[in-house]
Amino acid sequence: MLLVVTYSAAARTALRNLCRRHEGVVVRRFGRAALLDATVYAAFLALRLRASHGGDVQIERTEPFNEFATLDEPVREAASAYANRDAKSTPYAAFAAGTDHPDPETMRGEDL
Amino acid sequence: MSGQRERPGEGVASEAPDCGGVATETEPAVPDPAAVLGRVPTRTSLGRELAAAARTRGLSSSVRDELVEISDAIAAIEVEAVDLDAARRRVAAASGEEERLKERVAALRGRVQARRETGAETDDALGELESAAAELSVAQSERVAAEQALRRAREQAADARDARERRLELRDRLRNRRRDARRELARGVYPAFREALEAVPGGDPEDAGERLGGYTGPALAGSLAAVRLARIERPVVLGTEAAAWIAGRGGTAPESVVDAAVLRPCRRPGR
Repeated sequence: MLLVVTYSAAARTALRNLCRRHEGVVVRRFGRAALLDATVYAAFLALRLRASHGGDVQIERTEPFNEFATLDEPVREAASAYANRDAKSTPYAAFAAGTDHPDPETMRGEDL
Repeated sequence: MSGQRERPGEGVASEAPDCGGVATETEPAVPDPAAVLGRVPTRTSLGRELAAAARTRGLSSSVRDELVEISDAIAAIEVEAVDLDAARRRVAAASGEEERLKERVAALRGRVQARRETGAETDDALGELESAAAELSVAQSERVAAEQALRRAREQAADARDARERRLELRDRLRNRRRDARRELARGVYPAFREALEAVPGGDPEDAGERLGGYTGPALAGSLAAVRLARIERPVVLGTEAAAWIAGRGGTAPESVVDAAVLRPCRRPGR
């Protein structure tokens, strides 16, 4: 999908108008950003917005996230184990220390 | 696309068709009352008119200092241009070239293979394969370099966007504070406005209602009353519509209606 983010009042208003006028391409709307569907038409609309508002419009392409395809099992397990921990105040680093759960610094250094 | 340039403030005014609602780089933190009340019709709201009138009477809102502070903060933000066009174009071109050469290498490899199988001479085919492979390796380095350049440009753009985001937040806050200031100021002169309506053709104190926002009378009468209660040094420009309004309702001298010097509209030639 396409993520369109605006950085000025005028660009924000224009994005709002775009979403209102072209509801069909809008997947989701946020305050000054919107997710558009992955069609050439949506990209065309996004490009038009950027042509009018230059650097006040950012266009990014997003990918569906599948943790089963993208992540190793220990990472998924650590996430669910930490969510279900007993001591709610334990930070993750302390939770993971001395266990098989992945270390946060290590994960930080790894690209998806 | 590559000619795209930043247009600071260009779109800002277009968000506020009610005019003067959003600060631009050139706009003062507190609007000049003469700019709001210097001509009738004012083409703005009663609230803005009354706030401007209040300022001419020496009133200032409790958020005045904050308005100046926010305006200064906005002016101090330096916004760099964000233009990744060239970097994106380079990556796309390099990737395309790499793909093309990969296909060519694969095809040449197939040709060499086929010639070997049939026992045909392979020198020429091998030579072509070698030179294509060399080209491919150059193209691959170019693609990697292009991707690195794009990554760096994106990092710089992220900083520029932080600044834009901050500016947008400040502008939003400024707009809200200005609205607060206008309400406060307009409330402060509302009793005087009600009184001024008495002296304005087509005006009626009853129309003012209980409080700010309750005015139900004609917009022109409201504007004239706002100008009347303002202390304006410069003459007020009366448009044709406003002059006709006054003349058609009892013929009081415009000067005594607005309690200020008045400039008449220029008559069009031939009239």
